[in-house]
Amino acid sequence: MSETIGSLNNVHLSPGRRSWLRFKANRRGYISLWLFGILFVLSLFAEVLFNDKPLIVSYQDELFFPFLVTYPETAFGGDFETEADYSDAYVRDTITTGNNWVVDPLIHYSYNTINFRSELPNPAPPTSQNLIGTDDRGRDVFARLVYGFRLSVLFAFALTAIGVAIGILAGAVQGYFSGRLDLIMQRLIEVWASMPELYLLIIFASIFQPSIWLLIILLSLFGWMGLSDYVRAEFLRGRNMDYVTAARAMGQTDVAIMRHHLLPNSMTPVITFLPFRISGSILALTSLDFLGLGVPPTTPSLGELLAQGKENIEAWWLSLSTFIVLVGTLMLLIFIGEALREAMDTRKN
Amino acid sequence: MADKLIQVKNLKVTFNTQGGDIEAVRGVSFDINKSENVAIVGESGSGKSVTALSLLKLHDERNVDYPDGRIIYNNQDLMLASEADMRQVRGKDISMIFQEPMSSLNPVYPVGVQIQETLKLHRKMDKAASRKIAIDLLDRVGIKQPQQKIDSFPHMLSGGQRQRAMIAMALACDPVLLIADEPTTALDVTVQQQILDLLKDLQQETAMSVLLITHDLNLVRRFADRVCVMHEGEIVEQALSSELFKHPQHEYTQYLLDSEPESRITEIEPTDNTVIKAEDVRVYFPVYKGFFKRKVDEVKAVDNIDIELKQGETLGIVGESGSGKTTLGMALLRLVDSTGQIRFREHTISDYREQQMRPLRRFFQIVFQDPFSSLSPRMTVEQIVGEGLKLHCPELNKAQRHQRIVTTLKEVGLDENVLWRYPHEFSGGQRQRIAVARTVILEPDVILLDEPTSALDVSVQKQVLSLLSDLQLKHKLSYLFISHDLRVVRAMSHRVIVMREGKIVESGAVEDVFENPQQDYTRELARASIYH
Repeated sequence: MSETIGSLNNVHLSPGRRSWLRFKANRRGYISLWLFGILFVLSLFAEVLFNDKPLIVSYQDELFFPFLVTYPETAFGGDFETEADYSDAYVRDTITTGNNWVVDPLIHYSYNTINFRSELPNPAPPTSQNLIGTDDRGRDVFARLVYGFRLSVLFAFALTAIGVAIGILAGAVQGYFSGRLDLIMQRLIEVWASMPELYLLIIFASIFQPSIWLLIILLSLFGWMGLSDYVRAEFLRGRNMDYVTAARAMGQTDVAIMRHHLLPNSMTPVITFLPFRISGSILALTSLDFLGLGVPPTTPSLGELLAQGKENIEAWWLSLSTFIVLVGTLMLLIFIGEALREAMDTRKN
Repeated sequence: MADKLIQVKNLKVTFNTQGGDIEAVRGVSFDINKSENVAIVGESGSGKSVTALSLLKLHDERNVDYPDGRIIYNNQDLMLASEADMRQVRGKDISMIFQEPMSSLNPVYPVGVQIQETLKLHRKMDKAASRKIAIDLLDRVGIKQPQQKIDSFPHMLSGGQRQRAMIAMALACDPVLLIADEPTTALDVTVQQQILDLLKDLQQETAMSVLLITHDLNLVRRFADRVCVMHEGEIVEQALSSELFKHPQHEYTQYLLDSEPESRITEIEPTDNTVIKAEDVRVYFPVYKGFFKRKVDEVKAVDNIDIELKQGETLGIVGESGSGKTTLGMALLRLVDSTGQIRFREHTISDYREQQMRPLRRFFQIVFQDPFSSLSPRMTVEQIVGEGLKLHCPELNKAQRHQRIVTTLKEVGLDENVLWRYPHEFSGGQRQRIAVARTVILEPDVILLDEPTSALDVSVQKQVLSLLSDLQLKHKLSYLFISHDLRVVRAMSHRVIVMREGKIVESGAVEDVFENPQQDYTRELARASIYH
């Protein structure tokens, strides 16, 4: 009875390629990845798509790039030394007549452009000028949503990356070395975790100028602990496995054992929680902004839009559009995370 | 004798899984007469346990189908019986004992309570009466001091005692049929024999029938009246056991009988080339107690052991579980802290720090018992086998390394196309080959074989043993062969040491120790292994 591997297919596929095939096998996750990817990449180019400044202006055979460079009105034959207002009828006139031409972005509003020409009181319902209406200060809701989406996603990625990195590191060290080191670190974590996070945020918001960086630092200080517990447990379990002993017998260093043997086998909780951590981070930013403890007022933020929607309950376009963006983003992320988890499972074919 | 107790007719069992239906049992028919011992023998995956569980319909209803078959018991077809009727049969008329007594007893209840539960359920007894019977039962299954032991929790009992308690539970309602699913596999050899003797005694006493499920054909030689050999879901041969062992008809039965480990001891020229020499090795684990964690005692896992291993030689280390044989092996490889002197060639490695040890590590390697946990599930075969090479031969480039990996895999009987696969895609025997490849690729001097074949089917066991002895001859390897299975040790070792409670009981050339044991303990072990 010779041992043959006849039943297995004999196609050569690298591990990475096989993971990708497993990911693709989950249709929902795969489509979600595409959708999210397109939306995210588009939002990265928000300045090109949503701007109150033209992309290129050709004035008197000279090329200007207003969305990148600040030009005074005098550059276009105006009177003021201040930056040109491209929605002003005079400026618009001078740069579009004769040989002069303009390449405009898709939507003529940036996140903080106020539509002064609106005939309706603010917040204004959707019109042909403002596709999803304006907020209570007359800013275009569509532009604010796109910029807010970008900020939220980038914020969530940064926060998750920092949290995962610290969490894995702490959990790995605790689990692998265990014993006294583990005991001390575990007590320190318990003390640290018992600090009231929200109060600290409120206190810091009053001491420092609130900014996105301050939020990332503060939330990172607390965000890693949940994950480190799981990684620690996985490492504790894994360190007694025979393959770890085999690696030690081979003469591998502690770092190499942790990196090549234990870490890949401890990734299940990390991958499982990844989509929830990302969506959790988005929600954290949104709710802090909603409470007014988050980013400064001019920053485009989904939470601030929701707060406006609450105050102007009859302005349905504010709350409804923000709600759709939030729910859509969170759902896409969770679908992607689900497919990612399946892709990382080498036992699945 | 011809009084039929239960008749199984053309039983088929299919499991519905996500990957499609799996036909686990494909038309099995057999009878069990009253007071008869029937054994179903087969390798893992042959469907023997599935058949046994089907008798009591213990499979998860949601993913099992019985496309065909009848089980006639008491003029009733159990296949058509309702769940309520089945509950009457289970535990009362037909009871069952399992392989792993630790996991089949509930750890949070004392054993007595668990025995009483059956009595309460089926015989509607009150507490006092059932307790009396439970004590009686424990006494019958040979547990000493049953009055005290009845209140013990499962973890307070030894493996053999637990299995006895399980049997007591199974006997509680005087069953007419006892199904024993690998009742001795998890036990030490000497205990295995006691449990089988006990089953046989009880069977004669109560005139019940026993259906024994096992992978070990030789275990049933003395025990069973009739043997059914199962292979891939079918009974390939069914005969009285006296007939079967004398004249096996089917080629699979012959093959199974044939896969007994035969002597594979390689001839070695006498050499003075000592690879490992250890003196007075001790491994003590401290026992701490109380609030201040004072050291109150020590567990002497390995106590004052001298060992010498020559090049090309196999030293068998024999002992029951807990005798310290694995700890000794680990200590010799400096994977467990120990005292005493250990020399590897000209190095006194017992004085070396971990950094000094690292470059030497390639010369001694380990193959573990469980091929499922010894290979990292997230690494491909190429990564697993190539890891040590990357570490110890960094001068090799990618192509050279690949070449070495492929050559080594060929050497252990694996094809090149396994490189990209993950361990879970292989059978137990193939995984063990990968584990062996991982060690021999480093061209070691010593390999510690820690029960390398215990988790494998007999036929695969034979293949792995022959692979190991071929490699030994080819590379002049020295083996430290740890096993509780004396037949395997006997087939492989030149010299053997017998360990008990951390100490060497007896040592010497393998024939001397087995043919002419000096100590009672060794004699008992040898007897158990022959009975086997």
